[in-house]
Formats: sequence, structure tokens, C-alpha cells
Amino acid sequence: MSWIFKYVNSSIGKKQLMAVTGGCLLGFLLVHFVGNCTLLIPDEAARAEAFNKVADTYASLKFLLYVAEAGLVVLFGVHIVNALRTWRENRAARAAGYEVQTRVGDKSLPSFVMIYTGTFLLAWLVLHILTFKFGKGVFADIIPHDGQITLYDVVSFWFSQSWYAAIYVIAMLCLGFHLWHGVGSVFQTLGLRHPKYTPIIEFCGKCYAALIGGGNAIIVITCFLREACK
Amino acid sequence: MAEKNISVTLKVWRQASADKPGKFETYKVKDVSTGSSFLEMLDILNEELQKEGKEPFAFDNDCREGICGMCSLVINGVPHGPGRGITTCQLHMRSFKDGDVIVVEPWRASAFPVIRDCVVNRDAFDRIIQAGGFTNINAGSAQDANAIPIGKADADAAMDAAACIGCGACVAACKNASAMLFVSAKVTHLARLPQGQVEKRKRVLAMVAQMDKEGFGNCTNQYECQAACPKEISVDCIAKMNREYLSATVVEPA
Amino acid sequence: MNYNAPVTEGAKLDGHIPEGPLAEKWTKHKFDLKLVNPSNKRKYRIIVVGTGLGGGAAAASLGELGYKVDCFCIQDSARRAHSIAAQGGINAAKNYQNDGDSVYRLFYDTIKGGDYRAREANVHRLAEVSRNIIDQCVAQGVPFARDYGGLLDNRSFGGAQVSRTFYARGQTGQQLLLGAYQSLMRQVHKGTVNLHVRKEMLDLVVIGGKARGIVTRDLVTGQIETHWAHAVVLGSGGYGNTFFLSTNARGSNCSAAWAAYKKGAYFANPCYTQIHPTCIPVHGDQQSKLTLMSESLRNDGRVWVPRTKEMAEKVRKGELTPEQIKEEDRYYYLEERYPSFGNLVPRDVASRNAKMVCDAGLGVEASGRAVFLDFSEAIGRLGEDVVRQRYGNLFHMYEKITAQNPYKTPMKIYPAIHYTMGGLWVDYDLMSNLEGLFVVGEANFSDHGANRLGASALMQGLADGYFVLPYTIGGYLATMPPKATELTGDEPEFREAAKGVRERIQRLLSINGTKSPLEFHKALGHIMWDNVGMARTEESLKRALDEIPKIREDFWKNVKVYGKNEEFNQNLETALRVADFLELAELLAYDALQRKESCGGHFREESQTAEGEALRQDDKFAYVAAWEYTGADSNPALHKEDLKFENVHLTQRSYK
Repeated sequence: MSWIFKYVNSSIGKKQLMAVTGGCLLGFLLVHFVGNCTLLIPDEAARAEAFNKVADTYASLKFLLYVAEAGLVVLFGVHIVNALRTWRENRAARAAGYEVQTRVGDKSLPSFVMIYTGTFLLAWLVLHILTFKFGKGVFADIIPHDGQITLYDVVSFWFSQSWYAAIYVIAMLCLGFHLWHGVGSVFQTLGLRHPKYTPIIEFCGKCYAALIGGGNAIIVITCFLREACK
Repeated sequence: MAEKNISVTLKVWRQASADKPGKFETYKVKDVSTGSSFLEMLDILNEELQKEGKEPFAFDNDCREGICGMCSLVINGVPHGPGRGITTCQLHMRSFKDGDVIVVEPWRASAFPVIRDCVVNRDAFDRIIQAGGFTNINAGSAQDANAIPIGKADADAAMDAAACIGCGACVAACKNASAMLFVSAKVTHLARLPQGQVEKRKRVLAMVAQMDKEGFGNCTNQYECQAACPKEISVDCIAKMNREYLSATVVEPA
Repeated sequence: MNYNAPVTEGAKLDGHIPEGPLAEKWTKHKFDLKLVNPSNKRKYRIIVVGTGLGGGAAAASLGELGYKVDCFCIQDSARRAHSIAAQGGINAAKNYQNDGDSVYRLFYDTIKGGDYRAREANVHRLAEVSRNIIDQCVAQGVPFARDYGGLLDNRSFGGAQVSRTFYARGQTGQQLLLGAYQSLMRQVHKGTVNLHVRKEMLDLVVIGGKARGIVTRDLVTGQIETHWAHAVVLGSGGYGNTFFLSTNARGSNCSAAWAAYKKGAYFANPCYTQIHPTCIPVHGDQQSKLTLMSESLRNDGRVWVPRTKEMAEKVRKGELTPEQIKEEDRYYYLEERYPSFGNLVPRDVASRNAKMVCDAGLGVEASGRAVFLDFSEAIGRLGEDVVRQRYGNLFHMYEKITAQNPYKTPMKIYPAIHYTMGGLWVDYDLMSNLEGLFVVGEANFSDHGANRLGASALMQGLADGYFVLPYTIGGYLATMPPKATELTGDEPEFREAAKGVRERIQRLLSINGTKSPLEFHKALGHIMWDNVGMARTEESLKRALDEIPKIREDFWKNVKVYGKNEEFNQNLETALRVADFLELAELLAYDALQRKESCGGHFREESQTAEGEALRQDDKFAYVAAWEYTGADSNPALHKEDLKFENVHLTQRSYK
């Protein structure tokens, strides 16, 4: 069994754990994003119904939902713990910096700020879960749309708050940045590189990043403007 | 193109030894021919320092034609200075303008401690090769060289990776001081050839373990190493090593 | 040194060539050599100095056999020895191309290429083991060039009419050295080899007439250490840097070999130096080294200079560009003088002619020390693409250094010191006259005679290290009982040698003069290049012999060496090496003065044919000149080893 211990503590093992968990989270993000898209339905009643239906579908999974949530916790946990471990090691490996800081490669800014975008996302994630998962009913100001408070009411309420919406938009830009580098990185770290396919993977990864990051941000902005213009 | 003479200001890292703190010193070097190499310019600096009764500046160099891997200066933040696919000794003063300020620093990595000024200790690289960067073959026991045909594509890819000169620019360029490009170049070189495939799993496990032990950082796929590499070794090697490492972990019995 | 006094001649030397037919000597000798019991091998300690193809391969192979090896190099890693810079390739009599190659043909070409000044038996052995080298290197993972069928590719090289050169792009030396380095690292890991990097050998310790250890300086801490062994192997390279500017690495030096010479090992044929015709010219007085451009360029490039001095003067001043010079005003001197070989004359002839036209004031470049190598005709004939395919990497390298585009304007080239065939004298077993001192690779004198063929240096280094020394050193060690001959490294001889080294360093540090070591090295280089370079005369050699002692004297009075011994001190390293070059230079010139014939890389203007070609004098000079150190102020003593040619017929070369 010592080989498992060796692997998860090796530099490549740590990165591959991040890659695998990151890769799984990509799937989660996509599913989540598709659900979010119901918020773009123009008619309010239909929108609320569709959105709540998505939420209810998840809730109806009951036990399975807990399993899925536990899975997500593990994915995020492994991803984050390894990110912090490698970050600390990387800082120690380059204890002294250079007088002149410059970059020579072709990679753009997102690749150099992964730890910052990631940290911001972690903080945002806490807020996100607090307000949307556990926040229902806690905050008295929420006005039910249709009798009892639904998740749609919670979302509408929070997205009408300008500061909250602003944090969300920034978080989604961070997510886009994170994915811009992250998707291609998953493949490289797992060794899935090929002269024919890597350019395609890189391109698709950036499209995906733009879709998830940009798409979610647009949803938030749309919700905010809709409330603001009421 | 006619060469001309230029004068430059150098901001050079001076450090008496590993355990003493270092600092930058500023020197002027006048009337250097743009046809001189960067190291020849440093030779001039040293001759002048000596005339002024000052200690010469220490920097590693040997072949001065870009193959031994000894020279190792970070010039204006870039390992081996401006220009792709060259070592410091192949950098010429025509890459600079009259009046330029040039900052010269050593490779910065915890695994490469400074010995003096811009000379660093790269023994860690040797220890990584010792861990497994070879084929287990004794002199005299080889079969005929043409006994195993090797496809041209494999031979060429092995050669691409084998071109590594072990200078450490990849480590110097990486913000994590990761040695992945160096290690993966050797792993790829040998794993690409039938002669090296016999022990490829054992090799990659041993070399990565040693690399980690030396205190190099982790790869975060920014590919600065590839851009700084004087032999333009590709990060394809890193992907290959990631793959080899994973499969070795899964398959190797112990 | 009094060069006017008659040469002191000592006893003749015996190369210990085994009896029997040429092709069977090595096989028979391997059987005759005594063996060391496998379980006894680890009781023997062997010191190897240098980690190039000779030293690195030797240390690795000896470790594989089970000896306890201490291996030393001056660089920060064993992978950086100067063998790494070899470009072209390595010869081997594999006959994979089915073009009539054989061990005998490689032997014959090498003997002839060496202008009949090498030992037949050594060269034949070299040709025999050349085949094993390729096998060994492939097994190590050396990525030699291959064709589409997956088999090894060959190219042809100077001095041969068969394709027998194996290559790994333009980095053959690098790949071979990395193969040896990796084998060495494997032994370090196994614990058989103890590697000492950044440690420089400064003296040899001789006890009871046998080489038993060395004194080293740790280049990081300055610590002077003694190391004992049952045998010492030197693979410390050549002495080309005596000329200051050469294609050698900056760190390449003669100090280890010179220390051995001063402890009684004979130095053979120091005047045999090879000058490579196609190097990038010197650009000013600040240049630190010269870069070689592969000889293959002369296949399609045409060498010329302006026909008149006036025109050359204008080119030098930049008033006239080479393209503006009309065809009839271009002096294609090689084509005109050697109609049948033209631009493809051997290295020595091409080099000498370049010097002659430059001496006549026809040289180009500001210094007047360059000739054109012009591809315009080839580009016109073949098209730029074909030229790019053949020479693209060389053109690229040229442009990187000179910032001139050789597709548009002719290259400028000039000869430069490249390799030294001379070195410490060794017998057939690669053992010096000092028992227990073995010398491999460029550091010995053995296999190339007066001129080395292209792609043969790599072959010799690896042959010595992988396949010759591991056998012959066993034959020597078997005569020593390992335990009874153990030492501590603290015997009086060791203490004496270490004291001598410390005193020498102290003396250098305390001179506190005004000139840097580099200034002396440059001054020495000028004298050597001008007087002991491509063409030597009695007068020039005597001039050099007058001048060298003056510089040496000035050095020991006026050198300024910074800092102290107990630190990383590159200034001190340089000073120690320059001090040795200043001594070796004198022996080199003295040997050149005594050899009144021309042969290979040694051209005495007094000895040439009516056409101006090198004229050997086999009746007088068919010997190896091995010099014995007799003291700082007295002339060295000459020990001749007669060269016997039983298999090849000596002929005069002609390229007209």
C-alpha cells in the first residue's frame, strides 16, 4: 500500500489528483450551468417554475443527493488541499525571487494567477453555499414569489443586491480565468498530449472557459438588471 | 553589418558564499564591441575590476559555444538572456543598445544554492540522473548496433529530448523552480528507444522521487521552461513523463 | 632552456608492442594479460582524472568491473567535459553501407591520415574495437541518426573514401558523452565510483617509481587534498589552449598532464597540433574563443580572397563589399593551386594556404586575418533550398555569431587550433613510462600520429575508456598485492606534494603585481600563433623560445591574483593553468624546433616539396619524440621510440 502513499505525495501525483478532481468538477460545472440557464427564460412565471423544477429534481434524489454532495466535497477538498500543498512547496522551491520579473513563454495571464483565482473562488464558494444552500429562510427580507420561499426567490433576492451581484460577476470571471488554463492543464498533467489533438483540446478548453465563466456572469447580470429595472 | 562599440551599465549579483547575504553591484562597461559575446563583455568587466583593485565577478562558463551547459546567467529576468534557443555564451552584445542597463542574476532555486556571485550548485541534476537516468548495460555486453531497428520518428524524437544540456534554465525560468523539463527530457529520451524501454517504469519512479527529494517545485504547466530552454526541448516530454509516471505507478509491481 | 645546445638523448623507448601478426596482436595480448580475481577487484583503488569520453568511459567501465574508483572533474558535473563539443561524428569499421570498409581500411586510412607517425599496432587495435563502440553506445541509448528502415545511417568524412561515420545530428560528441556520463552516474549510484566534481588535480604523487596518487584543490573551498590509489588514469584532454584562442573550452588546460610530466612522465610529440581551416575568424582583441564551422562546408563553398592588396585593403575598411568584386578579381587560391582537389584539400593544406594569402596582405575582415567562403555559386547551381537543407544549421550558427547572412554575403573563415595529437607518452597498454600512470584520450599521444582524421577523436577516447584500459590496467594491477600496497594518503611523498602545491599557490597569491593572468595568456597566445602556428621555421621557433621565458618571468613577477586560496577563486584557477601553459609552450616550440621535417599538423617551411607541400623525412624522423623533464632550467631529454612500419608502405602525399 505504500505505493499509494508515495503517489499522492509525489509532485506528479499531487498534480494528477488535482487534474482528475478538476476534470470531474468540469462536468459538475457544466450541469450546474445548464440548470442556471433557466434563469434566462424571459417570462417570470415560467422562469421560476423551470428553475425550481431543476432544484426540486435534485432534492428528490434524496439519499443520492447526499452522496453526490459528499462526492463534490471530496472533489473540491482534494483539489484545494493539493493546490495549497503544491503552492506552498513551489514557494519554498523558489525562495528568492528575481530582481527583474518577466515572462518568456507563450502562456497568457490566467496561467500565472491560478492560485489567486482559485482562492477567490474558494471564498466565493463559501458565500455561495451559505446564501443558496443554507440561506433559505434565514434572511428575513426575502419575499416569497408564490406563497412559500423557493430557491428561485432566494436567487432573485440575492442577485438584486448590487454588491452581491458584483462579487458573483467577479467570481465568474475568476472561474473563466481558472478554466482558461485549467482545462488544457488537466490533459497535459495526465499526459494526454498529442500534436494532432492538443491544439483542439486547448481551443475547446478556452471555449468551455468562456462559456461557463461568461455564461454564468451574463446570467447574474441579467438577473440584476431585471430587478433593477422593475 | 558593421560592429560598433557600445557602453552598458551592469547591475550584477554579488555574493561571497552560500551562507553570506548577497546584493547587487553596479558597474559600467565601456566600449564593448557589439560583436563580442556577453561573456566576453563580462571578461572585460573582470579585467577592469582587477585594474581597479576589485574582486572579479564569478560566473560559470566553459565551452562558449552553447553545448556544455555550464553558463547560467539570468539576464534582465530571462535565463540565458534575450533570444530563443541560445545559451548565455551565444548571446552577443548586438542584442543590446548603447546605454542599456543590464541586470545579471544567478539561477534562483532552492535546489541550486549559490556558490559565489552567479555560480550555483547544480549537483541535484547529477543525483537525479544517478537515480535512474541510464540503461543498465555494462561495457562489452552489447549486441550488434543494428540488431534492433528503431523507426526514424522514434530515433528523432529521442534525439530531440536527448539534446538537453543540463544547464538548468528550465528550473531558473519556472516560477516554481520545477525540474520537470530536465527530468522528463531524460525520461522521454530513454523511453522512446527500445534499449531504454526495458526499465522505463523503474526509471521514471526513481527519477521523480529523487527530483522531489531535491526540493524542486511542481509543474503548473506554464511552459516557461520550454521557452527558456536553449535546446528548445518541448513540454511534450513533460506530458510523456506524466503518462509514464501514472502507468508505472499503476503497473509496476513494487 | 638553451635551445642551441645539442639535444640530450636518453635511452630509447619500448612501446611494448605484442608479437605476432598485426591483426592478432590485441586478441593475443588480451589473453596474455594477467587477470584480477573478481572478489579482489574492490580492494583496488583507481583514480581517474577527467570525465570526457576517455576518462568518463574508463571510470564507468572500471566501476562496472568492480574496482573502487575515484573520479575527478573540474566542471560542476561530469557531463560538461569538452568532448561534448564534438560535432561531426564517430568512425567505425562497421561496413553497414556495404561500400568496402573493413578494419584494415580504417587502420590504413588512420595511419596514412596521421602522415605515418603513429604506431601500427595501436591504430589497428583502435580500428578493431571501433565496432564495439557503436554497439555499446546504441545499447546505452545514444540516438544515432537512422534511416527510414530503422537502421543506422552513415556519412562520409575527410580522409576516407567510405561512409563510416556515425552521427547524432551535429551533436555526436554530446550524445556519446552523455552515454558515458549516464554509465558513470549509474556506477556512482551503485557506489563503485566516487565522483569529485569541481576538484582540480594539481600534482601527481609518485612513490617508488610508481604513480600512487594525486593532489587536488577543491575549487569551491580551496582545500588541498591528497588521494591515493593503486593506479592513476589521466583523461584530462589536450593542450590546445596553449595558443589562448582555440576551439577548446575555456577551462581546457594542460595542468594535470603537465604535473605528471614534471613528476617524470614523458611528454611525446608536443609539436603535433591540429589547425582546423574553417573557423569563425577573430573579431577583435577581446575575443575569448573560436568557433568551429564543420569542414563539410568546403564541399560546396569556394574559398577566395581579393586578387590585389589594394582591393583587400578596401574590403577591410568596408569601402568595398565582396559582392562588388568581379569574378576575375577574385583569387580562388585553392582551386588555382590545387586543380585536382581544389577546395577539398586536407585540413593542414587548406589552413596553411589561408595563412599564406593573409600574410601576403590579401586577407579580409578588419584584422586582415580572414578569407571568404562563398556559396553564391552553389546557391546559383543548386538553389537556396538545397543549400539550406545541406548546411542550414551551420549557416544559422554563423549568423548567430556574426550577424551576417551567409546566403547573401560570403562567410569569412580562418584557421584555428583545434586538437593536439601530442600528449603523454604511453606504451601499448596505455601506461606511461611511470608505472601505474595510465593516460587515455586526447591526453595521450598514441593513435593519431602527426594529424588526426575527422571523427576519429571520439573513437579513440571511447576505445581507450571502454575497451582498452579496462583490460590493460588489470594486467598491471595483478602484479600488485592489493592489501600490501594500500596507502593512507599521508605518506611523506603525499605531504611533500601537497606542500609543494600550497607553496605554489601562496607564491602566486603573494606576487601582487599589476597584470591579470589573462593578459599573460593572451600574450603567450600571440607568440605561439605567430611563431609556432601553421607554418614554422627555425627562426620563428627560436624567436618563440626567446620570448616565452620572458613572458614566464614577467608572469612570476607581475601577475596579480585576487583573493585567497580558501574560497571559490576563478582568478587563481586561471593563474595556475596559465603558469603551466607558459611552461608547456616552451616544450612545444622546442619539439617543433628539433623536428626538422614537415608532417601532418607540423609544417616546417624548410622541409617542403617544390610545390610547397609538407615533406616528411622518414629516414631521420620516423620516431616518436618523448621528452623527459630534467629540471626547470635544463633542457629536457629526448627519448626516441622508433616507429616500425611492417604493414603499410610510406608515401608522400600530393593533392595537385
